[in-house]
Amino acid sequence: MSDSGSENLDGDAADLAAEYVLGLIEGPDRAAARERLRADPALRAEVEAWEQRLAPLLDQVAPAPLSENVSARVWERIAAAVSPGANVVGLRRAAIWDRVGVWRLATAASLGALALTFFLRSPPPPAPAPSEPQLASAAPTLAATLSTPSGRPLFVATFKHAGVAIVPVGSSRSDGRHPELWIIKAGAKPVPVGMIDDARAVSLTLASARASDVFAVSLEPAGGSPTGAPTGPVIASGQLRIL
Amino acid sequence: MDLDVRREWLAIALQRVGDGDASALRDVYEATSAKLFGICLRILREPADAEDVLQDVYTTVWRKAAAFDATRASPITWLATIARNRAIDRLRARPSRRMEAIETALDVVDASPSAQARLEDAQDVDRLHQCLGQLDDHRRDAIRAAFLDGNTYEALARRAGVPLGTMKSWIRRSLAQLKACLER
Repeated sequence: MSDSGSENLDGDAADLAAEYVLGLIEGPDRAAARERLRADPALRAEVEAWEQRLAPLLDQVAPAPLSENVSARVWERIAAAVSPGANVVGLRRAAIWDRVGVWRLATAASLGALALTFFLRSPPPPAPAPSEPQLASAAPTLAATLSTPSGRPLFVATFKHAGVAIVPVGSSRSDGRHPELWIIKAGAKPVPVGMIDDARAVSLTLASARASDVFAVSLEPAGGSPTGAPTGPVIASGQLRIL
Repeated sequence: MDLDVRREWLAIALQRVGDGDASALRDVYEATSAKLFGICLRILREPADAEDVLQDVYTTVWRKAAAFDATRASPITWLATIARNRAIDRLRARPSRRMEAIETALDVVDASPSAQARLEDAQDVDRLHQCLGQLDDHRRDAIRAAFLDGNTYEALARRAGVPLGTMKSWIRRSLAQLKACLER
């Protein structure tokens, strides 16, 4: 099989790139091709182009959900490999505050206003379930900055006790359409939360949210998306964090 | 539209991974491990091997996430490509080829991409299938078997019952044709 290798490496770079992406370069030739990729940006670009061209085929590969046990085992190994001896939760804290610092100053005033809005307008907390009273009272406030894909903050939202308060912090062009707030849980479809306003604070009810859920805002017809899924462009999104 | 939102969610999560946020890696793992495990399993056919590779994939994601550029690649394509490359590396590193695995690859029926499971833009998917559709059946099958199942030239030639040299020129010509079609 390796007879093809030297011929490939000397031949047309386009052939090499495509065959490399298909996995048809084998044995020592594959390692050699990789070496060459490191040194040759044009070849690397062609490999990336082939990866993009063929990636839609991967749509046809059925997902294979891992059983809970296997998933936990694999994650433990990943966690051990990425932060040997470190506490993953500790890592997480530092990272949150690093990121929060970036926008904290810019939005401190908005957050003040938001907290006020929240206490004035949020619905009363639901009665805690008898089985988990301490959990309900200890529920942290979650906050998200919703930014454009280019990173410009448009809204700041907080969630506590089944209520969301969301205030605009930047100007957005809605072109006659109306911003609607969505919540997205990992791997799930967006669920509508309610219509919001790009000029004033709004409070909405939302049964539950947790850190790592994402809030997103899309532009919709008056009254909200007619389909139950976003129909207009997503103008801003951001992840919920413990405040 | 929800594809855009999920892509956005994943792109943001990868950005956080790039910033060294291990909890974001966990989020990415939870959202994508089934898909990436599916890709690894399809190529490797051995769950234990696929698990090993899956671990390797996410530690690679951890190291490389800072280099992920959402303007150049969709996040799921980026992840799936890492998974596929790692699985192919593992397959090629096996001391003895499992011929039976290659043969059984023939029996695997592809799931039709349902709207919900769709990872890529419908437009890109349709375009690729349209261009693949212009190839002769045997050649299209060979490209799919190489890309999705990790078949070697040797295995492809045996499958199609043609000499190795013939298969090589089939593939090279088909790829050139495919590229021309996709770039039109």
